[in-house]
Amino acid sequence: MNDTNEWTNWLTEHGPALLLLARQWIASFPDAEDVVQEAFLRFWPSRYRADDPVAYLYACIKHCALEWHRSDHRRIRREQAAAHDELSDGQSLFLGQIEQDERRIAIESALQRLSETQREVLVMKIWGKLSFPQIAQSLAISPNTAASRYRYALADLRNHLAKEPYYD
Amino acid sequence: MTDNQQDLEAELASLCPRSLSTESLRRIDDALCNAPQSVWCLSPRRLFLVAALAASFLVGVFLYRSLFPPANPTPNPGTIANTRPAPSPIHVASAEPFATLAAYRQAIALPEGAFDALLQKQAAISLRNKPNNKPLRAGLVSCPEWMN
Repeated sequence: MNDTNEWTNWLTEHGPALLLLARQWIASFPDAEDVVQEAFLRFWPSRYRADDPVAYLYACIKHCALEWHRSDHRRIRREQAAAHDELSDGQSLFLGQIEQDERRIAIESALQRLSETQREVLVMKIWGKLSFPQIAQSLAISPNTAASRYRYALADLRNHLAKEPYYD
Repeated sequence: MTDNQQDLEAELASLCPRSLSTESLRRIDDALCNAPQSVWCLSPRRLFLVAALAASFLVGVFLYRSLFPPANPTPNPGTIANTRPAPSPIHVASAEPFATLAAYRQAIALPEGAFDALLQKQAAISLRNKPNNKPLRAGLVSCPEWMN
């Protein structure tokens, strides 16, 4: 079916970045998957109405993630998941080989230290491969603001990584 | 952009974020396949097809009615013209003069003596309103000459 191929292509191209973006607010991997699923189901029927569907999809992810984060009835689950995260190692943001694990952990740690506004721009730019105008449209900011946040995010990330003991 | 920034960007881009699980993809597939198709959710191409079909149907109906008009158009009972009350017998009767008073009485189907009473009443009203003895009000009753 053509429609099935279409949404599969969308998720193949943007799924990992969407999941990574959702995990900026939601620590648990299954909960982030739920948010991506909900946001994508909202996005799909109305994708033609958006000026830029890709920017709209990322905006849907942020909206649903914040909505999920605010909902009270999920707060307990979130706290339980956060407690469980410390024990499980399947919650990392990135896939990686064993020899790259130290580097990956350092980058994940440095990412977590960035501000939320910098992190979302960085995720959209690096892993979502969005342009600055698309990021600006998705976050309702100006393209110059998006670009400056990106530059500051890279600078801060480099500073954080320089302090890491296993970053050369 | 400095080389350090480019190196860092390349290093970040080399990291692969986790992708959605097959279970999550299956749930999305189920939800999208079972979602009810609203007309507002149609793609622009499908909306255009629906609009083209509707427009061609209307054009077809218009051409058919203009090529083959109905021979005796039956009045629509819902129209305003047909909701008017039927004209009174006097109005109907006064449209054309009658040869005799009996024919006139028969046409308006008034009982014997009722028409005379009506005429007298109208004449009294007319005399009261118009003492100069002008003819009866036009449109209500137009009396033929033999009635005077």
